[in-house]
Amino acid sequence: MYNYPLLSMLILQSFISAIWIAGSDYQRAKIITYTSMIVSIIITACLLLKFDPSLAQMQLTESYQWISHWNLTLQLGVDGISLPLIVLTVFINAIIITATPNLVGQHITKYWCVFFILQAMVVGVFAANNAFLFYLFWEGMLIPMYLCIGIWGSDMRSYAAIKFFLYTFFGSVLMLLALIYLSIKSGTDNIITFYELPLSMHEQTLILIAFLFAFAVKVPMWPLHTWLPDAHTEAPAGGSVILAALMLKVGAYGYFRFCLPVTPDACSEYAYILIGLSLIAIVIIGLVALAQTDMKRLIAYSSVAHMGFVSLGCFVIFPIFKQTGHLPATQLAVTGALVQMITHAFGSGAMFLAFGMLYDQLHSRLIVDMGGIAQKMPIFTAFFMIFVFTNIGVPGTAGFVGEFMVLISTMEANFWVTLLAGLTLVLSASYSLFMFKRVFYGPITINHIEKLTDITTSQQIALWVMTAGIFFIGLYPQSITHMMDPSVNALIQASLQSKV
Amino acid sequence: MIQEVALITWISPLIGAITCGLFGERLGHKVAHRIAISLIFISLVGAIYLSNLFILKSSDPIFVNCFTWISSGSFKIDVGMYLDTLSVCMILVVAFVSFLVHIYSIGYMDGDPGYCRFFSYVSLFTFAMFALVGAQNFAQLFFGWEGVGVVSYLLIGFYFKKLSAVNGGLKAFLVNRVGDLGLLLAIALIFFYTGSLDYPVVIPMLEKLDQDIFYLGFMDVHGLTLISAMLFVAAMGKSAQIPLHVWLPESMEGPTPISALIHAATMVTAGIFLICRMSPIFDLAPSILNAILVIGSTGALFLGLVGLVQNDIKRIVAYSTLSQLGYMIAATGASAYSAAMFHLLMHAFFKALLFLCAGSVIVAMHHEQDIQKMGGLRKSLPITFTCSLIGTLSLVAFPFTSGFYSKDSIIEAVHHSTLPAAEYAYICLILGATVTAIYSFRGLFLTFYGEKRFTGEVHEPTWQVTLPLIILSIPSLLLGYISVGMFYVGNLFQTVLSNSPKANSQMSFLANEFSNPLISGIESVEHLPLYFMMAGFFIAVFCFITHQSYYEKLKPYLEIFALPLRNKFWFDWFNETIIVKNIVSSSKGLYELFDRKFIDEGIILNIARQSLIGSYSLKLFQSGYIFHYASLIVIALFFILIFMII
Repeated sequence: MYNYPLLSMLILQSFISAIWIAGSDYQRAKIITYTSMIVSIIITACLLLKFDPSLAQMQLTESYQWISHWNLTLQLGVDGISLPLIVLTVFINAIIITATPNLVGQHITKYWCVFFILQAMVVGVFAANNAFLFYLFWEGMLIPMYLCIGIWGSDMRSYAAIKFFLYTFFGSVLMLLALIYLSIKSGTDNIITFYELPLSMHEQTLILIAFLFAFAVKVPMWPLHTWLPDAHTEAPAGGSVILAALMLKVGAYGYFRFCLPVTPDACSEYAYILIGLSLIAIVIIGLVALAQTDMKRLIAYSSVAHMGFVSLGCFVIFPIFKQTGHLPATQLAVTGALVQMITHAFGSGAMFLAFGMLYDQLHSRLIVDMGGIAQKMPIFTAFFMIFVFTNIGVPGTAGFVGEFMVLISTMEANFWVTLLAGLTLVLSASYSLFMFKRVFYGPITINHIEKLTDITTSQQIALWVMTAGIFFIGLYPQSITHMMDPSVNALIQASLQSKV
Repeated sequence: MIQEVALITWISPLIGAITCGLFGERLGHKVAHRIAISLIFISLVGAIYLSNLFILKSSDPIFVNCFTWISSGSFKIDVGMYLDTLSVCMILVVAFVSFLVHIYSIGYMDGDPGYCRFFSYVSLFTFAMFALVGAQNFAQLFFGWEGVGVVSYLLIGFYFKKLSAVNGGLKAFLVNRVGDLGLLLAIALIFFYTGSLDYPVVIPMLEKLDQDIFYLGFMDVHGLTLISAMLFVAAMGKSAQIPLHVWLPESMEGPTPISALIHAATMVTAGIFLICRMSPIFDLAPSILNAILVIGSTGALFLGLVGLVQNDIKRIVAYSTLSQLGYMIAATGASAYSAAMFHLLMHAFFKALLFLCAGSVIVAMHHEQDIQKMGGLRKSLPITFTCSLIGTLSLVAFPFTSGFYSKDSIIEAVHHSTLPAAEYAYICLILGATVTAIYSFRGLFLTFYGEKRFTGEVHEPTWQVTLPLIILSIPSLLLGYISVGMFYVGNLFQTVLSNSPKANSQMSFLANEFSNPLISGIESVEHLPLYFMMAGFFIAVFCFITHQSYYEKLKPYLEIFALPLRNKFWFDWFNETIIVKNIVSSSKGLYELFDRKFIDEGIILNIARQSLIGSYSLKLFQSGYIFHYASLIVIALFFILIFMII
């Protein structure tokens, strides 16, 4: 087998089809969309086949000279941390472009175009190996998302779109400063070389703060989360799914790619602050979700609460190492956080997708406008119930795996951390099932509920795919973790070594 | 061979659940229930085969590995079936009761629009319960533990148009989740100490950690005490102990067959199973054992008392379940783990029988559940009446019935215990015998004796309903007599349960007491429990059969005692008005004041607003008028000049 440049093929392919779709009429655009989707899936499958899960370093690397005068190159490559996320990106995008166009109604070709650009950007972020390419894709991602909310969103769309853009852009600028500083200091902008760069505590602290502004806004970490409920609520179905399933992961990916290995001492120093923020996300945002009257906003807050486990698993490794020196427990925490990143897409992402289908018929997001839907849409209810169960982390579904791993590893750091994080067991069940009860159960009291019809076969297929993913990961998480293990090990080695 | 049988036993209910759930409506009700029942029957045959091997021939415990769930570094979890006497006993009972409940449901659920959904859930429950009892590690235990909780939630809310049913399901799930939090913390602690989650690795390692101190941040605690406490919280949730018992009465909103299977025979006993599984650890934490004794015996007496004022035929049985679970928990507190398991198994039969009888009455009465609107059913429902009588006799521990051997051994064991809480527990349990007799016979008399307090004809339901009753009556009556020797003298669970001196002394005491079932049955006249039970029986006869008019006159004076009982000791009031209300209002406050007003409005949008104001003021400098710029230049030059001069 030849060494095709699979990663750049994947990115370019999405780009080219996006441009092609933009210039075509509906019929041709549809053909291009589906072909391109299948091609993306094939390339991703080849990526998985060619990837050697026993190696820790970057694989399938590509390097191109870009601006030779400044010694700038374009470097691509994947390791066990980024590959699962690339697979997830292609998977989620395939579902969105097949299942949600009917839900947005207008400008469908543009809609496809936007999502292919988005796919190119997100894959680019995960595959970029040098800082400037990373930054390019990182900022490039904002544009299609901004358009998506701004064009297809609901009533308050322009407010939400601008809020989203400014919020995330603000953080990115600080990250750019940090990246420039690191590049100048190391002489190259390859991310791997940043890892070995000796940095003083003072430098590390400043760099960490700059990074955190970019990543914590994206994840989002409390208190920088307030853009998310607005963006989610106003975005169309596909936009919400992408936001929950992929955009948030990009921020968390930044923690693992930059914060931990580049600034380990600063992370270790401020670990308890970051853990505290994660716990606030889990507990306080969990409580906030309980008070929601807007179903989509509730799912959005639950999404923030679950992302708290990613940052918790990420930063808890420092106190664990300090107190016990156990490497296996830190590995468990990081792997758990990475798994949580993937499974979160199947919890929140699937709920947003399903909600889009409901909204299509109901045209209301308010829970008081619902009730008794189970009688009219039994199949849809069954699917939604599975999504709720994965969201509350029932074992056997995807949502359980990451949370369980993070929770049992945090005990090595502190009993109270585990206890507070464990409250999610009660909180997530409260807000999810309370919402489920009000929306689906009980007698029908509102007239327009009577007119609802169950979801169509094509919608069922999309939800079936999601369900299959949920049970596959839930029952056999080994399929993901075996890819991650060597890279996670290497990451922990890099993160737990002092640089000062 | 064992491998295959174990896996088939485990998996076949899952296949049944999936088939019924996905294709049931297309296949038709008859085909669907036939598939479900034949698959459960396969499980039952497998369970019988396994119990022959492990209980009668006492093979060594083995682990049947199915696949590796996860293996990341040293964190490795295998999914499969762990077979030893304890798990095989549970598997047998679960398969047996589940099989009968499946058959019973054909008659009970006939014509229900959710017929296939029901069979799917019940089969799924059986699968999850097998996963729970057959777990070899805590991760699979947690899978089964939450799995049965989920199915229980679905089944309580089975009639989802009825808000009370839906609320009952929600309450059950949330209260159970509090217990699950305890289990999760226990699992995390165990992983912290041992780096593994497999029982065979964990238990010997923990036993060596008797001296270990765990630092909680502000205080030091004995590590094993903390683990046991967390495990007990888990057991409190599933096995409905005070104060997490509030969900069980509510769970009666579900269809009656599942009340028999889930909320009497199998799921609610999972907590006792867990304590028995981890008994070597509990035995090293005496303070927790005392707490268990107090909580268990308090539940046994006081929740039984609440049963006295219930009028719903199912709720009476539900409170009796709460009381009996208290007995089992108290037995574990007294380190009489075998007695707890013995009562668990016997209780599974007679309580399932009582629930199914109640269901039979409900079907016959066209879904009327209030016993005040029944009466005199003895003649028209002879089979149901006889079976109810057998179940009731077993429940009140009438000598020679199954319940007598198991319950009496618990009371004797608690009496024999040397823990400080044992005396209080003994008093509670022995008074509990009276209470049990009163509410059981009250229910029986009001339903089957006296005059008819309703209109219309009633007749015995179909054979699918009555056959399981007859089958269940046999073990309810005889199994205790047959098997008591195996449990105590034969020490069936010797290799599984704790071998601490405390547990061994209880074991030899019980083996001595129950060496001959015939003699111990006759000797019961020398023991107190029999008299307390008879007292209860005569009170019930006096009040509800012979001297009803006296009782009616007495009633207003009793009302003051009934007040706390009618309010169920204000647990629900406390939960609803103090806990839930405060959480809801604080969550509203957090959202509106903190999240929206403070963070979003106060900080984020304020920054935007301030920069807008700033840009407006900067805009003034760029008005576009030449004379503005000219005057600015002059002023600036002036300041520069002053600056240079100084």
